[in-house]
Amino acid sequence: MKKIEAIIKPFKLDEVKDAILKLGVSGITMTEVKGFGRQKGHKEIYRGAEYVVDFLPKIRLEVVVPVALVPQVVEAIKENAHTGEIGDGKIFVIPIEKAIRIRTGEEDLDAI
Amino acid sequence: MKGSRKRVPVFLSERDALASKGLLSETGLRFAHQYSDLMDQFIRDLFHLAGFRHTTGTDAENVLAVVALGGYGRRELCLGSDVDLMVIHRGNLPSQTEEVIRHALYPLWDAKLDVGYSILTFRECIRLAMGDFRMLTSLVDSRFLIGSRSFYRLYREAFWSRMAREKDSLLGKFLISRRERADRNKGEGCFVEPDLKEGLGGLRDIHLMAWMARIWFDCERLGQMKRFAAFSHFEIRKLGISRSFLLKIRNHLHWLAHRKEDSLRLSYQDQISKILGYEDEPRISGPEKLMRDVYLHLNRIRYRHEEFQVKMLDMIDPVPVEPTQEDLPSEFSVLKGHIVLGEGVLSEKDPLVIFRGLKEANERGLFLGSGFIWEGKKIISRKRKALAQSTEGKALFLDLILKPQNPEIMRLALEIGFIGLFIPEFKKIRNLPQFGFYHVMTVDLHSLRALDVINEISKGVYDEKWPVFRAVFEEIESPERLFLAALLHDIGKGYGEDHCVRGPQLIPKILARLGFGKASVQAVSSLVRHHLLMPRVAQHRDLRDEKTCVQVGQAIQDRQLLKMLFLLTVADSFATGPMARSDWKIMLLAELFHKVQCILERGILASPDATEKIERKRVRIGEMLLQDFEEKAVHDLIDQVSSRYILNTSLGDIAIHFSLALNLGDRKHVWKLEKRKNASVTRVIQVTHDKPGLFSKMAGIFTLNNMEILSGSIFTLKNGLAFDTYEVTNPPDAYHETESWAKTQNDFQEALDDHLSLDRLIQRKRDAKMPAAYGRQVRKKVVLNNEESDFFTLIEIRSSARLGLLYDLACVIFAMDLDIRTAKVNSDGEKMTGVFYVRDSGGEKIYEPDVIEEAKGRLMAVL
Repeated sequence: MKKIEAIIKPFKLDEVKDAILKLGVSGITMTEVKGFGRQKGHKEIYRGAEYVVDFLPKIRLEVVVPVALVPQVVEAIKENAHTGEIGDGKIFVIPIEKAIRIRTGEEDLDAI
Repeated sequence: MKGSRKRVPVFLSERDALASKGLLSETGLRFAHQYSDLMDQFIRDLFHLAGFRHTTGTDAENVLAVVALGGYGRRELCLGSDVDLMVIHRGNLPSQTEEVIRHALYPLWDAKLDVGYSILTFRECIRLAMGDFRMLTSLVDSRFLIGSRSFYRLYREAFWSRMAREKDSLLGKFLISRRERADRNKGEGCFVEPDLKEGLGGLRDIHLMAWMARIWFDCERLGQMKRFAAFSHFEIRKLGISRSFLLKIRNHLHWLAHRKEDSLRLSYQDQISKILGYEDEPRISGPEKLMRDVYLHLNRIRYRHEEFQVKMLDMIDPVPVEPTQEDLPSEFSVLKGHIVLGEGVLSEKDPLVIFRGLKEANERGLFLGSGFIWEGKKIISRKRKALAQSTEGKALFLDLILKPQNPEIMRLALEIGFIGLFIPEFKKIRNLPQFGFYHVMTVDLHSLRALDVINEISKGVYDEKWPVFRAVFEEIESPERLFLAALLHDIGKGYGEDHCVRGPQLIPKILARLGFGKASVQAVSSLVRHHLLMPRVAQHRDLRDEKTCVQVGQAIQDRQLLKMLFLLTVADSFATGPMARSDWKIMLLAELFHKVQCILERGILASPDATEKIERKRVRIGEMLLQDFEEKAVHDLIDQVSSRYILNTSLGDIAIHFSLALNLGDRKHVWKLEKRKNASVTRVIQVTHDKPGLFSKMAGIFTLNNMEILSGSIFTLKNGLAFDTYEVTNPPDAYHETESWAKTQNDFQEALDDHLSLDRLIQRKRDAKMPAAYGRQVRKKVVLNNEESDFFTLIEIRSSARLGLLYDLACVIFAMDLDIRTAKVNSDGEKMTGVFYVRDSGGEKIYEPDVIEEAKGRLMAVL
């Protein structure tokens, strides 16, 4: 099991979500976050307003998937979050030691 | 609660038993019914085990009905489909009852089913449905499961009476949803891996027909539409066969994927074709046979739906006939953008009216109206013989294929059998899939697309990027030959032999049937025979080698033929798929075209004497550089370079190499970058001190910096300098190109000094690389060829692409003491092909059989 964490542009959320769900991922966690990458303080247009601050609004997605599904999910995120512009975001793949579903106590693959 | 926990494994084992028995033996529809019944039983049991006792009256406070929706409601549940449920009640549902419902539903999740459920009053439900199209359509297919049946009936009545009032406003939503679906599914990927449900011609098209029949015509079943005169030709039986077929494949797909997966991906095409017993044959593989069937059914459903919709709209919303376009023949009129009969019915008319209708639609950019698809198809197949003999029919056919204005109409002409009528050979390529790396569409549609590209070229669609296409088109004396060749270039496919050989054998008969003379037959046959020649040479040979271009010239001979062949090749590439039509490949094609054209213009045998040519070039170099450099320095350098370099390098590149070399000073290397205009490719023109294994070092450095080498060539000077030229893809980060190049140059500097451990760095990069999400096997091949070049042995390679492969190959070639002069590489996704022009350390070609065998063995080992 791996956790795939992706920081993406907010307006790409729907496309990325649909693409991941199509692959059979059962749950996604999404957080609104702010951050910046190597273009510190770069201006970016977001919803019509130009941001000059360092921190730009982004979406963080987290999904936990079986190892075999990792390449497909990463590919789907890459493809759907891509605009080619600065600030398209990043994807991290992180190992998961254990997963437990609270309601039933199921573990690992059964729990995701 | 405990009881329902136990019920889950029982359901799962029942489902497994059903699947292992019925997936193969039952028809798709019957299996879906059986699985739906199994689910019904499961859900009823769960409700009872949770303590649900139903109330029969319709007034009681706790009266409710559990309803199956969508596909489950239709009893078309597939193994991975959503199980959509709705509980409708009167309002103020006692919390106790709600608790019972919840407990009844939890085990469905434990059974890993995708469950959708809602608890609504029936007013809420109807309000939601009116606002949400998906909700609405899933309610159309609702089916009573548990609870009070009389209450459910009340709800149905309320729902349908509301629908009756709203149906005018619903029409738009139906049309929009179909259009959105078409937009989503028109991409090339959707063709190779079709979506069996939402794709064009997928199950959804049948649902749409059924919904429309239900809402506007009060038909519980689609078949009842036949009672309307306009639908008397509607073939419900064949449609049912297609539905059942798709359901069967879909269930297999869900079963293999363990989830709702509706895209028939390549890997599943393989597996399902094996399970269903589609066996490989020499002419066509099992998966290809499966997909031929899939495309057949998808096409059938798609076009039935198309016409269903047109007819239905005519009935729901009759509009007055539009003012007749001035020059439209009186037998037709135009209705909502469709050509329709002015009066009467098709079956009582001269059958040629169908072809005349196609012609009008083609010329006016319209579509064909109702009647022409179902009835037209029937009439054509019934009166085949007479129609095929008809002179007017033939003239209309030629008119269509030689002036294809509207690709939709061409597709329709294929669908109703108009093309097959005059070119029965088309039957062999109908719905024939091509499981290569490059092709997207089936052969028939690919051929139509190629025809359309030629039409686009003639209209100037590509003028902005490739003005040469139209310029060449306008010089063609008999464009009809080009159109014929585009339509027929792959007609030899499906015979299990080389289609470039089989195709030309079929041409004389086809063209004679259409009334073309000997000259046309000869030209078209020749075009079909050679239609792969130009891309093969352009991508896999060193175009600076004059012999290469002379060989192409000898094969083609004629300038008109060359022009047509060039455009045919372009059309074929554009129609094939994204990998075949990359800017880089089109650029190579254009380059080859120009070179061969020059050779044909001055005559193949009239090649100027090489010594004379070299001498002329030497003088020009001197003249060009004298302004900036000392005469002696320039002449000393000219003496250092080989005649081959001068012969095979353009004056522009020579000038750059010379000025770089003359300014080199103490530096170990210096390069000039030139971005190409039409493709995202950069040329690296470099001067450096020659080092053993220079090519492998360059390959390694570019790989390390995420650029792909497309071609490279190295000339060594007598004084130990190397003049080289590479063509590489631009750095991936367009925003930091300068930085990327600076780093690349720095890396190269260190590699020259042997401070960079390329092996280790590339290995690290390779280790970090994620495996490809979907991989296809490539048959590996190494061939050594001494025929094609007078001075070099060609090593040709085909393999699965992987990071650093080129570097490894270059290292092996270097380790065998062979010298790479030129290399050309194509990386097409998962496949890599390449050619290396090599000589041994003595500057000779490789002739010894044991050396050849050793080279093959060592190269195969790294592929």
